[in-house]
Amino acid sequence: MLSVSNLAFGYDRHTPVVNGLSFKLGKGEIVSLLGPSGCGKSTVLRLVADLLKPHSGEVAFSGDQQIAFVFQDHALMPWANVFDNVALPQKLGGAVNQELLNEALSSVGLEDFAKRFPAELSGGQRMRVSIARALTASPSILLMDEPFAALDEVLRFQMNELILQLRDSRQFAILFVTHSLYEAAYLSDRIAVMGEGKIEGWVEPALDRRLSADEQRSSPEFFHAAQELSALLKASQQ
Amino acid sequence: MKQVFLPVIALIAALAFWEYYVFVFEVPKFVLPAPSAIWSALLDNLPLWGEAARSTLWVTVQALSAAALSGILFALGFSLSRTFEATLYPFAVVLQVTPVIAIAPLVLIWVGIDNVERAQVIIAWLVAFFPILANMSAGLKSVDANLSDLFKLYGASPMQKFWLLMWPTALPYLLASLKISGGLALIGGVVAEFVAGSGTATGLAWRIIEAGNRLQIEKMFAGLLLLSVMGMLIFYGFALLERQLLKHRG
Repeated sequence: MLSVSNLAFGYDRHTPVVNGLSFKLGKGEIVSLLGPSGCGKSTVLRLVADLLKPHSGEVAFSGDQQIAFVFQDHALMPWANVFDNVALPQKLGGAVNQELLNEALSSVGLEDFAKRFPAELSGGQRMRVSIARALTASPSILLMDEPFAALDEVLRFQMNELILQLRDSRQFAILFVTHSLYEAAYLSDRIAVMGEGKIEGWVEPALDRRLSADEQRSSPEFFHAAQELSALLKASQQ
Repeated sequence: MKQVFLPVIALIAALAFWEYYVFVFEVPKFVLPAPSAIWSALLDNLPLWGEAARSTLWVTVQALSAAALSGILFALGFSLSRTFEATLYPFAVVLQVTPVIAIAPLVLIWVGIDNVERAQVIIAWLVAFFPILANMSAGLKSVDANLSDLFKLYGASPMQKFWLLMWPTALPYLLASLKISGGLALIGGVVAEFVAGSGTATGLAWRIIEAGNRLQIEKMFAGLLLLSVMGMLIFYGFALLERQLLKHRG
């Protein structure tokens, strides 16, 4: 559903941020871009979302794909309550579907928080609002830019579960940027390890999703994937 | 509570000391009248003071409204076009840094000979305009980059982007500038009336000049008191509005 080929981009002509990058994202798939800060992960998301124009290469979609974006800093409007924040994509589209909004709020467990303002919410709740807002755009591709980087480990695990549940129920594909190899190993179907604007290698964790989260995180497949990712990350920084 | 209580106690103590000092040292009324004499001067001519205060307030309201409208429009123009900003911003700075007392006589000659109020409004606008322009410009430029990207991603129209993103982002900046410009508009109007000296002026400044010419110092203080109260009401009025409008933002 998404095919990126030979993508190149730089904020100036001499220093490429993304340099000849290619990958595919299939329906319902979670692909993570893992790499150190400044390696071009977030830029790839912006290029896919058409927020930046590539210098060369192509971002191609099969059919009409709806994209939604979740940022690390949740990017909520502080002057609007939860309901109005979540309704933003629909408002901008011209038609607000109350049922869809309520469904999005309840799917992130915030149905009782509609009248609250962002300042009255915890960090985890704000991220849930941000995810609910993305859901109301009815995305087929969800772009997530280090969404849980600012959360503590327990909250991060909860949000990881939420994302997997939502992916299973709504069948959207996720392009997920993170610098946590454990998060990438747990969440992803495939992980691209990036270094200096290029993909240095791929890892497929192949966790058994029938197991509980704790069992998956202590499975040999998980540790194997983490080791592979660690080795690739070290190699990419040499 | 402390914020109200402490200044009120300080004011009462200062007034009591003032009254006591004037009484004990028999300070002449034409040098320093007692607070009670000032209060009497105010009460004895209440309709006159009321009319003068209304005139000064009307000038302030007109000038502040014009400054707010023009400041917002120019700031919006600046946010839309760097060229427009680069062309006009230096002139706005010139208006700000040139002392209003030096510009006032010119404005009075050009537009105020037959109508001082018109000159007062223009002079008050001159001093009130820049803080609104500068703050509103900063506010419109401080839009969250990620939110801006979201608006683009979800296909927002320019009007949607303005009303749903830029305006609410800039609102705290605008309200902060109105607190400053409200007081400046009042000062501008008073300065113009002082420079005009007489003519058709009917505001508080003219009442102060008139009282000064007759050495009625208690009336000068009464006029000053009303100007201070008016300035405080404008400032705290906008502070209250700011608190109400921004109370959910944390």
